Amino acid sequence: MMPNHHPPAEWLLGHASGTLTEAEDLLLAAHCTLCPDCRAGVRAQEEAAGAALADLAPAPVGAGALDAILGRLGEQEAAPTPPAPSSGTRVLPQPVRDYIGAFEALSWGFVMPGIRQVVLPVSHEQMPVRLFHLAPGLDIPLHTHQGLERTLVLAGSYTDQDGTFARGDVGIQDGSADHRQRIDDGEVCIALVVADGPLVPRTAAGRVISWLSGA
Amino acid sequence: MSAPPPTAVLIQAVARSADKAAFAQLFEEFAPRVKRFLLRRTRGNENLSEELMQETMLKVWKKSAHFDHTRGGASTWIFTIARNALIDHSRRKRPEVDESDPALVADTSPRADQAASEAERAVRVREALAGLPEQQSVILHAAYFEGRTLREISEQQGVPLGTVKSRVRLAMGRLRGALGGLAS
Repeated sequence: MMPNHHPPAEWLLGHASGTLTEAEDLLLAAHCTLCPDCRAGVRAQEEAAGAALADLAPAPVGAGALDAILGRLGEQEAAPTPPAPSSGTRVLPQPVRDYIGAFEALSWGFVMPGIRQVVLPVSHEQMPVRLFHLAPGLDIPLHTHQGLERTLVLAGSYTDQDGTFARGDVGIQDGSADHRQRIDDGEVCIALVVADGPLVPRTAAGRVISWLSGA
Repeated sequence: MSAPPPTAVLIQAVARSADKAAFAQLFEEFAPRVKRFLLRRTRGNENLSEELMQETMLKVWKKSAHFDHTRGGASTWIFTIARNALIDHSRRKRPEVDESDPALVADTSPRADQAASEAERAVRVREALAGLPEQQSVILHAAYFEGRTLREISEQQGVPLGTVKSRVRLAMGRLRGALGGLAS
């Protein structure tokens, strides 16, 4: 099944140009694993950049550059990092497994009843990336965000004012509106969430979430 | 199948027979352009640009066997290697799609843009870029070559962020339309 909710065109441009943050790149690569259409969009931007590269004015290169490169051909490559396990179910796309391994082996941290999380070790950034395990039928308490929050659904689904979001769908919530998500009945929802900053809860329960999750 | 274009032939010669003369030709054509790209992205840092250019061209040699001319042109492939060298230099991880991922959702609807030969695609994308309104193409160039975010472009040009975003959306539609894909 193809996703129905896609990241905006500027994310595809940013991924192709290498201007996104690591957290945004991660969420986009995970979405593109599940979305042939957005893969084609990134590809189109890369092809356009390649065409434009070929038209750039040449810059002088170091006099011995070619010989220097030919002299390095025998260099050993750094040992490739062992591939993350790909066995078991296919819940997590490879870009996510590269950070936390297989879904079946995750140790979830308790946040509050119905909500568990794994924090992804994304390097030096102010954008926390978390994988959430959300119980069916759960109402996520009202909160507002500082800046954007981006959600990629990997299993189950949730519904908010923008519609229903299932596997592969990307939801974007900005800080301008209160946002209420309800996890749909029947199936656990697994969601990758990239936030610009800590959640700012509006209710006592929300404050508990914020406190427990260390946000 | 049309014959692969000359630069692709050179890359294949490097891959098949470690052909140094072919590599020298590739170097002559691409190294100065990769260097220009890196100079612009690093705001004129000569030493870093030279270092990353050499890193990029070394990868062109070492990864030549992975070049697939049916999946894009030589300059597209080399652009992505140079871009990745820049990201790796910032010492962060570089999440990307793994084509062999069991979770990958394959494209079951063959599109014209994938059927077109690499040479055709290169011509079409070049024409589409040249045909974009300037207010759209300057945004793409600022992203590719200056590494600007849309917010920076918006501030630089004094144009509202929403307008910059919609211009990117229009440009994307034009590029994909030219490649025969869905202009969504």
